[in-house]
Amino acid sequence: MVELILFYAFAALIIFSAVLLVTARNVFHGALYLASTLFGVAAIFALSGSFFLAGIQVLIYIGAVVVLLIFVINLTRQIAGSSAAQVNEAVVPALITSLLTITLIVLAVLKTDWATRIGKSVAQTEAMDNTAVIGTQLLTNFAIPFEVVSVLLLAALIGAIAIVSRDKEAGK
Amino acid sequence: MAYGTFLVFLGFAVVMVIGGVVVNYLLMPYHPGAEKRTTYECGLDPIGEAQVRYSLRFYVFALMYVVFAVEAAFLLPWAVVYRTMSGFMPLTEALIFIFILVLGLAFAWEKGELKWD
Repeated sequence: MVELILFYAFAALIIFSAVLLVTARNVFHGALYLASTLFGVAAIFALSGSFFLAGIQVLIYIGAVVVLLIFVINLTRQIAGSSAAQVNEAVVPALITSLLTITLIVLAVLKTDWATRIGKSVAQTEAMDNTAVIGTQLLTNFAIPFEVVSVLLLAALIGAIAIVSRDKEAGK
Repeated sequence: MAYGTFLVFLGFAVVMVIGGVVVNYLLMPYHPGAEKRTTYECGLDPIGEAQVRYSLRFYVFALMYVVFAVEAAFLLPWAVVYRTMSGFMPLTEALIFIFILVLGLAFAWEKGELKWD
């Protein structure tokens, strides 16, 4: 019962902030609504018992991605200060694209076999603390993917630095 | 699972924040003046606008922060189970994981991205 109340409260928060996000005339306000939307998603994760995912959602998406977005907005004065209309004349193409995207997502969700290897091994354990289960899996069965993630992050870091420093040299 | 406690906690948190603002609004005297309306900047007169453009340097730091936040996300479950595991394998795996990312930090350092110039 309490879970149900909390679920609908946070679902309402997500929809409310998401609508404000796309209708906000100021892009900076939009970024703040995005943080609110992502927080609602984190709360839904926590209500489903995925406390690890909820923590990661706050840490990565609100802590890092939204902060990065706000930095990008503040790099450009014109965007931060001004307010722009969020609708233009391309309503019909936008509607068609949105409907097709929704269809694609719903079909993908319905057709995907969610019982993957790691999903099964986490579901099999009775423990509530799935952070510990994920940790154990990362260190035993998934040790190599764990290290490969590090290489992937290294590639992302070097790529970002390379792009930024090339821009800096071009600007000199 | 005791979500009831959480609901009560959430309710009190909302009441604390909104109640504080509302009570403040009801009790406050309202005598605005030109001096009072200026931005508070530690007692000094504010200089320039508040909405300034950030330096592009911050963008590099923010990008690097995203990468290291993801690294922290992967080290979190490792830290949770570290005490329950035996042997040097968990430590070695985490050290390799961190070492590979430190290479990226060294690359940034070598490129001079950590300097403020």
